[in-house]
Formats: sequence, structure tokens, C-alpha cells
Amino acid sequence: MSDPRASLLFALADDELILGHRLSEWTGWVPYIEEDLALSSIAQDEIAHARMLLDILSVIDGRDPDALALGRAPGEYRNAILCEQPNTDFAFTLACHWLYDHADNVRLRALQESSFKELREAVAVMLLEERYHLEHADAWFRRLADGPVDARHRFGEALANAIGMAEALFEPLDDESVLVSEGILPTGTEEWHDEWMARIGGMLDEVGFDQVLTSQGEPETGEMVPTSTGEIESTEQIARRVPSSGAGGRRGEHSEHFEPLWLEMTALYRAHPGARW
Amino acid sequence: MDVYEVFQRRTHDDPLVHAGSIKAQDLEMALILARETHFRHGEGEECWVVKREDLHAVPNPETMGGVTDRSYRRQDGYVGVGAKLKRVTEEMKKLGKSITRE
Repeated sequence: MSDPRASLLFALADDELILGHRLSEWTGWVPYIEEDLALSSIAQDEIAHARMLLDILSVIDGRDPDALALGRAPGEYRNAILCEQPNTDFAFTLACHWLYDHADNVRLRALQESSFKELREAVAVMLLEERYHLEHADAWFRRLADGPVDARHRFGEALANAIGMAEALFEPLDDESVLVSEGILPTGTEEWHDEWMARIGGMLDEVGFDQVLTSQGEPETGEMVPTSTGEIESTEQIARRVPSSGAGGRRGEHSEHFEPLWLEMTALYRAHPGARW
Repeated sequence: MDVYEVFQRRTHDDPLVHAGSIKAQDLEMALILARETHFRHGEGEECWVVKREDLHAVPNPETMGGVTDRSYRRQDGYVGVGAKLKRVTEEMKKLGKSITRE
């Protein structure tokens, strides 16, 4: 039987690695240079965090961190599919960033109390940088929610499209009951999910985006939301899709977007195994 | 977007110096973006921003410091004062006088 700590470390590391890779694709393409630098730095932070986690995993697993990051088959990656979604619209990236970083913050805070010493120490370092990610994500959340109408509309739609996949960040882990009973997980993924949902639900509610969480049924009608530019937007304008369950990533079942990402991310490693920078 | 000027202190004991400029929507975004634009390599321990329009230039800078000779106001105008004082003291002594410094 494999070490139950591996399923936790693969989930955490792969989320950071794949999201970091996706964010790095924005480098040079962000709408303005200052934000380009900020988002690129966040991408580098995520990849650095993946490396810290894979260093710990390497001791358990036996493979070196590069082999773990780049030498696995697509079906062996355990990231949530939210992290592999393509960069279509900047609003969608910022929506995923906001949903993800709150989720990451909830689980990292919980893991500060883990009985797994090496992980606990890595988490303390990661939280220092994740604080900036959260500030950045929240700042964009408030600004895009505040309008003008096109920004608010696109951001609301992006949040609605991403929310189901974001919930799957809390898909149960293999051997989770063992992880909980050994105190490696001080709290389980279901509790993390509930804490995250309460947190983002409150923020969505504050900006009149509560319909993002209403995955079923008709849009609420008649509610008019004034934006910073004084334009009035009816919430009816926000297109809502029923979120797909978004689950499967923790079992290695990915969306069609994973393989192209994997091919590019691992191209050099596959062509020249063991190459060094 | 507005232009913000970014200042840094290398350590808390160093003076504030200009690090560069950034564009941002508002003050909060300026504070968030300044650090990744100008402080990615450990340039400083403090980062300050101010909206460019809140910086005000002194008018007529060409007359700053004066346009006539006022070298006596400069520190180097006092070079050799000790030697001068010594010389004058000795000359006075020859005349039977002394300089008292109260």
C-alpha cells in the first residue's frame, strides 16, 4: 500500500505546478506591464511551492523532484481540473485565481497544525507568499465586481463557469480517513470546502454576485445593481451555466485541456531527460 | 490609470530614493503592483508610492541656490579658519593685544 501522505502531497503539489504553468503562459500577454510582472511572479511562486512539496514527496516516493514534476504520465497527475483550464479571457484567469487562492488559503491554514513536520514547515513558508496572492486576487475581485458593466458581466460569468471546478479542489483524497486519523490532516476536505464556501459566499454576497453560487434554476430577476460608473446592470444579464461537477482530478481524470498542457510542459524533459539548467 | 512614483529604502536606516514609476488604477493596486515591478530582487526593505499628481515641483528652479557669488555660505568657505585665527592672534600679540573668546 502506498504511503497515504503521497496522495496529499501529489494533490497539493500538482495544483500549484499546473496552475503555475498556466499562469506563466500569461507572461508577455497581460493587459499591462505592471500586472504582467505581478501575475508572472505569482506563477513563479506557485511553481516554487510545487517544488518544495515535491522535495518532501521525493523522500517518500524515491523519484527525484524533476521526475515527479515532469516525468509522470498525464493520468498520474492529481491536480484539480480548475488548474488546467486554458487562459481564455483575463477575467476568467482572475476568477480562477480568486477561487483557487481562497481555497488554497483555507487548506494551508488547516495544514499549519498538521502532524507531518516537513509539510507543516513548508506550509509556513508558502503562506508568506500566498498572502500576497490573496491580496492581489481580492483587489481584482472588488474592482471587477464594481464595474464597469462589461467587466462585471464577464467576471460574474467567469466565476459562474469556474465555481463547480473550484469546488472540486476539495474532492476527497485517497486514504483521507487515514490522513485524518494520523493528524496529517487536522481537518478533512469536507470541512475545508465548507469553510471556503462560507468565506467566498460572504464576499460574493457583498458585491451582489450571490447568483454565482446558485448553480441550478432560473436567474433572479428584477435586481438592479449599480456599478462604479453609474451604469445599471440587471443580474439577468449574467449568463449562468450549470457548473459541471468538475471532479476527477484527484483520481487522475482530467479535462481535454490537460494533455496539450502536459505535452508542452514536459517537452524538454522528455526530449532530454536529466537536462539541467 | 494614474501614474504613481515608487520610492524605496534599501534598509530602514537608508534615505528614501526614487525606484521608478508604475501605472495603477488606484492607491491599493499601486501598492500591490509596485512591489512586483520594482522589488522582485530584494532591492529594499520599504516601498512607498505616491500619485505623481501629488508631487509638486518648486517653481523657477533655475534660481535655486542663488545666481550671485555666495560661496561664503558653503562649507568650503570656512577652510583654513583655524590657521587665519592663529596668524591674527600672533600679530595682535606683537602689538600687545590679545583676542579673547568668550
